[in-house]
Amino acid sequence: MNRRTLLQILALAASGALHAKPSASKLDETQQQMVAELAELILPRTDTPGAIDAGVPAFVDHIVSDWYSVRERAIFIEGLRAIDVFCRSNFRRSFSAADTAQRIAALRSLEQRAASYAPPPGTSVFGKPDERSPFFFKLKLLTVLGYYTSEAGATTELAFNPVPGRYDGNVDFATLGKQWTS
Amino acid sequence: MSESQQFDAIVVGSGITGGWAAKELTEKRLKVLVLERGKDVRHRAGYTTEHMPAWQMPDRGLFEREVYDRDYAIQSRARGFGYATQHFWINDRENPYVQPPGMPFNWLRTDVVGGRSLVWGRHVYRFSDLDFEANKQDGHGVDWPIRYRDIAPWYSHVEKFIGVSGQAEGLAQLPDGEFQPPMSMNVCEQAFKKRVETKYPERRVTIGRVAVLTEPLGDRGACHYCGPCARGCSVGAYFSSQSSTLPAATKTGNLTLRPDSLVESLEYDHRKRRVTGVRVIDTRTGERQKYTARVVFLCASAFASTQVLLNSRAEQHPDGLANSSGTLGRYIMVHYHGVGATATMPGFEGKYFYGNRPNTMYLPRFRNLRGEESRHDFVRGYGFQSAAAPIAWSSYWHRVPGFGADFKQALRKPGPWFIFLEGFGECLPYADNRIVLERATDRFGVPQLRFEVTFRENERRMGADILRESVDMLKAAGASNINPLPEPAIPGTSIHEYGGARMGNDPRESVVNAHNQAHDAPNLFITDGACMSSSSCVNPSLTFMALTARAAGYAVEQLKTGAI
Repeated sequence: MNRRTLLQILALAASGALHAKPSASKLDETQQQMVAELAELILPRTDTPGAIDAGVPAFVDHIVSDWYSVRERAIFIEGLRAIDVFCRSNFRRSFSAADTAQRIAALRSLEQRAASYAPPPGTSVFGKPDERSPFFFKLKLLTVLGYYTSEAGATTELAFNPVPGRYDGNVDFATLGKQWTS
Repeated sequence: MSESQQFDAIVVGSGITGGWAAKELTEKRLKVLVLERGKDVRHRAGYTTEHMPAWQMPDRGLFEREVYDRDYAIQSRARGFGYATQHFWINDRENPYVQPPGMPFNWLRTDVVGGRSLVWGRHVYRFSDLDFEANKQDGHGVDWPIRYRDIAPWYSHVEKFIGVSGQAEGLAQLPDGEFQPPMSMNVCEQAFKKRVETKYPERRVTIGRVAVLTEPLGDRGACHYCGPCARGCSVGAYFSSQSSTLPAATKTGNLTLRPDSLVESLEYDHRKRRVTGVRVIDTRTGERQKYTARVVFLCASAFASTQVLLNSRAEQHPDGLANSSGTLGRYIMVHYHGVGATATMPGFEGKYFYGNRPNTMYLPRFRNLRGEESRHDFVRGYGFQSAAAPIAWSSYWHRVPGFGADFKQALRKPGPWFIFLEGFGECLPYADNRIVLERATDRFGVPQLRFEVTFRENERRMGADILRESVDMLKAAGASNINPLPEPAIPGTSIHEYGGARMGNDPRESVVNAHNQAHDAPNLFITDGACMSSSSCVNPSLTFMALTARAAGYAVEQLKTGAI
């Protein structure tokens, strides 16, 4: 089973992960693989599902390919290239061939590069995107959005109750231990 | 154009006021035809996104960029607009209007049965005599021919039917109503209330008075605190035409509801001084038809009703129907809002909430009250909506650095408590804040509306005061990271729309009389926001409903005596 097939199966397994009409990805196989590995680095499997379990890679691929503007997609693809270049120049191997510690170091370098970026006030994952935001911000946003709005992320990592039935504005967070999905 | 069956009454529009006109008139045994330009939305069956989780939405509910840019360039600016509600809003591309250069105006409107009652903010406040006497007191606009005592029983009538949860406060500027138990403030809001009221003893912080049930009412269930009301509510916990007035009207057997029926204009017999027909375009086929009735209620919204009158032109009334005063389309008002401040409230770490309360706090007007010597450089006043809540992951994620298991663990916790204050200011009635017909027509051949509406010096001065007071109250409440919001929203964004066919005693300076009856056409009633002679600073829908019910009662009496 090649990586692409694996990703497709994972995407299908995350029920309802994708509704949009299927269209050709604008990422090549290497890039798709990087997206999956990066998403899992950001939100790994712990006592709850990780980004891959939750179908995040297919979601990110879809948004980047079908929803992003040309400019956003260019920033995203350039970011994937930069992280690969970082690995090659520092570790003499591609991102995909790098070990976990090296990948973390590479992603951290991109985070530092994006550190001076201040998102517009009130920035929400659901709001209008800032087209110019740097790669790391885009990648983290899509991973967070894809994960916490997936059934797996929303119902296991966070607390989900679509029909609470009452309102109580003075609850000790400790009794819940996790925040509401919405 | 074909003549059709005779109705006793025709109601144009099925939204908040149209639904009320339909209910009152059918319950008084009139055969009523309701004409709605939008498509049908059935109670329950029409709420296709109710309780739908994000993972079942296309792109997780992210806005559809290309579709919004193309079809909802304006409507997408409405609060709460998104995948889960967009099917209720009008298509901007197909339904254009004109904004002259330098005069942006957001005309935010739905295109469905039930109108904006499906997506409204649900806050309901009574006007007081501070409002009804304002024009007379300071000379702006025409004096209201009614006072609080004229409308008070109708407020009660409406509140008992729609169901209003709220707290009685005994304030002269915000009369109490018929309330179900109030919703509660959260722990942070309670502290805000206490601190603000301590620093400013003359101010009051109360929980919003909303048309959302906290106890069952008739067939309608109490709120289950799911949150996104504007998707529709199958238990009918919030008031909408679908949940409340249309079922009541249907029950009488006297209601005929016709969706997809855009009213183009009214036919008028100038010798009899009567409206003799309502010209309708079927929005699906383009077919034109005329309906007749003894009485017509215009309830299409302030601007759409005014548009119908402006477009009802004939040789004897070339500037529109019911316009002998020349005031039709003038004195347009919209609430001045968007100015305020946001902040964080320290000291509530570890505190959280259960349930999504569809309500905010409310700070009633405290400026230019009666008996207060005015020290301010503006007339009238403003109120605030305000709420506090912990910042959710969706807005807090980018403030949590790093990635990996630690990041994931950190994001299980909400961010700090966030609070906002947003002012809603009264806009004065200005003759040259107006809507007119453009030469350009829409796809049905109906002349487009052109909006010439701007805020003026009084609104700007009020805005400066709103900004100052927002910041000062947040300071008094112990907030930090106070972020002033000095820019008002584009006119119209508040969706609190008034004027165009204002009420007054004198037919030479107003369009309708004290009973919402057109001076020029006794069988024509205009009972939506168009009739408003001033705007108050409180949310208007309750007053529109009360005026509609009152006018309906009057119209039926007039029909019985043969006066119309």
